[in-house]
Amino acid sequence: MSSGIHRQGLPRGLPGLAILLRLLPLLLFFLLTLGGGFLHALAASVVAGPQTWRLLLRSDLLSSILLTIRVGAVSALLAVAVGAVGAYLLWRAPRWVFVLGSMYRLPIVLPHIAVAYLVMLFWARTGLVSSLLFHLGVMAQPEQFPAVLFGSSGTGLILAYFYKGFPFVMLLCLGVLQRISPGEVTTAGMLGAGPVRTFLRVILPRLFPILGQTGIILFLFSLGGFDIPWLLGGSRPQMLPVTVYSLFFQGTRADQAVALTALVVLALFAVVFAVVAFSLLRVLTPWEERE
Amino acid sequence: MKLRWVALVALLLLIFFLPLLAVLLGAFSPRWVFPDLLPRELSFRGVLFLRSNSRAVIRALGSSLRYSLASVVTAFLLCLGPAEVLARYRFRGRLAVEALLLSPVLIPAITWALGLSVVLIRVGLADTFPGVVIVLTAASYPYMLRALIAGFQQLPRDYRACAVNLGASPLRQTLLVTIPMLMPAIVAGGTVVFLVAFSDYFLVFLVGGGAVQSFTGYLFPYLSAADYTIGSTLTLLFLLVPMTLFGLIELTVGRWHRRWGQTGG
Amino acid sequence: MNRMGGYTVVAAAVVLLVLLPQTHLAAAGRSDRRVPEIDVAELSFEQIVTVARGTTARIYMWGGSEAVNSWIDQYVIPEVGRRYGVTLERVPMDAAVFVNRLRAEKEAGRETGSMDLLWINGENFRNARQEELLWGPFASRLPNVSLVDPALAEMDSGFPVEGYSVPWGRAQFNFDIDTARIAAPPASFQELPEWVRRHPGRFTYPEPRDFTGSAFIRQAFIALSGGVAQFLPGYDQQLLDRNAPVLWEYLNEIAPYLWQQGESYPRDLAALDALFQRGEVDVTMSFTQTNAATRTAQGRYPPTVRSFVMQDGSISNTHALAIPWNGPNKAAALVVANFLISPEAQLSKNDPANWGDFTVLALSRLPEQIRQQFTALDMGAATVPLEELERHAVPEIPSEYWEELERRWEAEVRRR
Repeated sequence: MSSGIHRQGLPRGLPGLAILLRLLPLLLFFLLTLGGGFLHALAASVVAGPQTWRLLLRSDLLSSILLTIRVGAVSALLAVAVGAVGAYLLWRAPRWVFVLGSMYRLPIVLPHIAVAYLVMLFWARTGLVSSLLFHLGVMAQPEQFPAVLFGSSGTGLILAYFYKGFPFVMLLCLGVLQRISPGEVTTAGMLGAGPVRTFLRVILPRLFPILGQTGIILFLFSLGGFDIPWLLGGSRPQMLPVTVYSLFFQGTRADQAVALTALVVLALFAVVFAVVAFSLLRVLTPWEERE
Repeated sequence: MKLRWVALVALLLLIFFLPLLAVLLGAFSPRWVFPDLLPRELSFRGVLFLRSNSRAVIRALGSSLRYSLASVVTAFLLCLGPAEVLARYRFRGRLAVEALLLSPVLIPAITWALGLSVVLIRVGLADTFPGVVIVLTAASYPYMLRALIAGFQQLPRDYRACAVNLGASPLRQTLLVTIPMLMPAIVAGGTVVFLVAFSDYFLVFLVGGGAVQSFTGYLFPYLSAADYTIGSTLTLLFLLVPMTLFGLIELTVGRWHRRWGQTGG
Repeated sequence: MNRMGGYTVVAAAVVLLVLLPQTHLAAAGRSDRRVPEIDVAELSFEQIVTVARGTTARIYMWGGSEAVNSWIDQYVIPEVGRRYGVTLERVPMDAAVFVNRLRAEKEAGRETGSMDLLWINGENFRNARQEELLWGPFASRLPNVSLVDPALAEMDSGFPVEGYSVPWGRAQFNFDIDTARIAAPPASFQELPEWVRRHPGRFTYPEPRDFTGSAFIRQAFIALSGGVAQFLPGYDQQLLDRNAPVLWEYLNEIAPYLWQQGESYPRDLAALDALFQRGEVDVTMSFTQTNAATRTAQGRYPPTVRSFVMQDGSISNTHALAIPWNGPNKAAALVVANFLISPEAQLSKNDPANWGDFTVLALSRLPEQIRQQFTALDMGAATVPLEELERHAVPEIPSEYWEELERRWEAEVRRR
């Protein structure tokens, strides 16, 4: 009798219908929101016809796409690299450093617009960094300071996305690190590995999957972010979301179709990139780290 | 040896504390011009602004808090069932379904949000509170789903057995057993969903159209015009809210954890 | 059961947090947004005031100026609440964006929208009118319209108003400089290139997508093509085609000497103001005659900042209020619009301590006492003297030109 009840409670195979029923609300929500929004964009771009697709190859849109990808890639790579090292340092640090170090979470709480504001405060031509260089005698006039913000290089955007992103990487890495027994590091140390070697040989393989995943997420997020480019981006080339926004809200009907078509392309790119990147990540992940 | 850690702390202060200090200084200075490293004058315009605009500020903050929490609750309700199924049952297409449902994390929000905003106008949900909650939930629920899946995977296989033995109904099982045991996962997922919703500017503007107020929307013009005094004051205020909330969570959940003993996570 | 205690506390806290602000809001704006289906057109203004009492209305307006926002938040909202029991909400949004939304709502057949009152003029007004996105005519229904200078209420940038909007402010384009840094600003658009060359990197203008940036290139266009008169009769594409190349040549010639070598332009006026305030450029511009006066008073600009206008023309135009076709609360919109053109509100708005936006009322139509208050307003030491402003004022040209110039700038200057 008791075993009968017990069996009843075990999550053995559930009938397909029951599974479907439980998944249904979220699936429907997904299809109605993301699906609906994407289909609307797709429909608009299909109706507008092939000449709209050709417009995407217009030089300014193309360079805007390239800039967006570069900003996303560089900031994500930087965030992953610095985040991993930062997490490792904090993890190895004595307790008082670790406790003080928890302030690294600040940018996670800051909204993107505030991060952009901080970057402006420090990195504008007349910002605090430039002022400091002036007092150090490195430069005499704000014009000598490089165009970190509003320039065609997108450096300010990279800084902002990096500042927002790497604490996130640290947070996730610390989660993984805290499951590693300190004994492993001690063993590596006894076998003669220095901190750098230990990091590369023992820690990095453990962090690899999470670093890959967050890197992909950060990269793809920054492709569609509007807040930071709106505040820090230049006008030539513009970041794609800003271009899309202007075309959509301030343009003609034809411009709107171009905007939505650009979004369709961006979404397809994201999907293809994610599939390829995650497959690669799986292949590259050391065997013993696979789930 | 010790010097190394002091250097690390100094670096951390430089990266994380200095900006905060700059914002604090900015909040109390009328202007900050090149090449001053410190503002030259003192101004209480920011504080006075807060006082004379307290109603508007509170309204904007309250609205942000409201739709963010509503998004957390909506995401939780939507994800609880699917997370259990995905974590604990094997069925054909499970991986595909999971990948599909988690995909909003990977697809830039603007790609579907612009189209969705038009759809929401058609169905009359643009400029409404539910509309904003829908778009924010759509952008952030995968964090909740992922956290819940992880939470379910860590539960003992027969975690429900006792409740079933005692003859509890499925609803009671969920309320009395599942949710308490999942609490760490719920808090983790809820925190991220809250942060995404609370700090978003664009999606709320797009779908709320300004009719649904938001603190980011209130703050944006001041940051955009680099009105250091007011922008800094409001940014500081902005930081207080999530920090207070997390403090509260830490307190309540922490205490509750100790009473329950460690479960799952 | 005891174990449940903790969870209940958390759950209750969450529920409370969700509900609390809601009850707070409900208490603050205890009102239904839907006004009973009464045809406002049938009512007298007194009846409209009665209908509007206790309701909420939203005004959609450009949000880029702290002075303007504060005036609405700290003066207009409390006043219309006190006088008419109307809860007014200010929503910051660019006119092009809300016109776009109205268009989408119209296409979707959404009869009850969410905007009640709009701040709109120029190309956006014309587009909205041509696509029948506005409700009206309503101007004649406002009692205070009889005080408005009739010359201002007829046309909006070359497009007949026909009562679909009511002017509520008069703006004139001017520039600001810090006299502590710059002794002699350029006196005209003719002199500007030479001045810019001598001060490389210290001048720029907002992208013409921005209202003020658009006005800047338009003004240069008028000055360079030999005066405003030829453009006033109406839009003439050939005239534009003939004169525009000179403008593009002019702008491209100064581009290398602009801020960031003309690689980048400030996104909007707010961004230019930020550069000016930090000392990154020497000149900013504004459509508020007392902008510099207000900001020096706030301490945002040093006391040495002064305004100036170009001798070959400074655009003077009016901005207006309109009501969207699907405005949910037209009664309150009318009441608020009427209040905004009342002598008290116009006087308060005209005060540089608040906003400094010039009045649209004809002073001759006002009672003696209030007229004196208007003339007694101190426009601030930084403001260009009124006679000088009037001497250099040029009227607005048809808004088709604006749109065309903005669009062509993208190809001719930005992408070049």
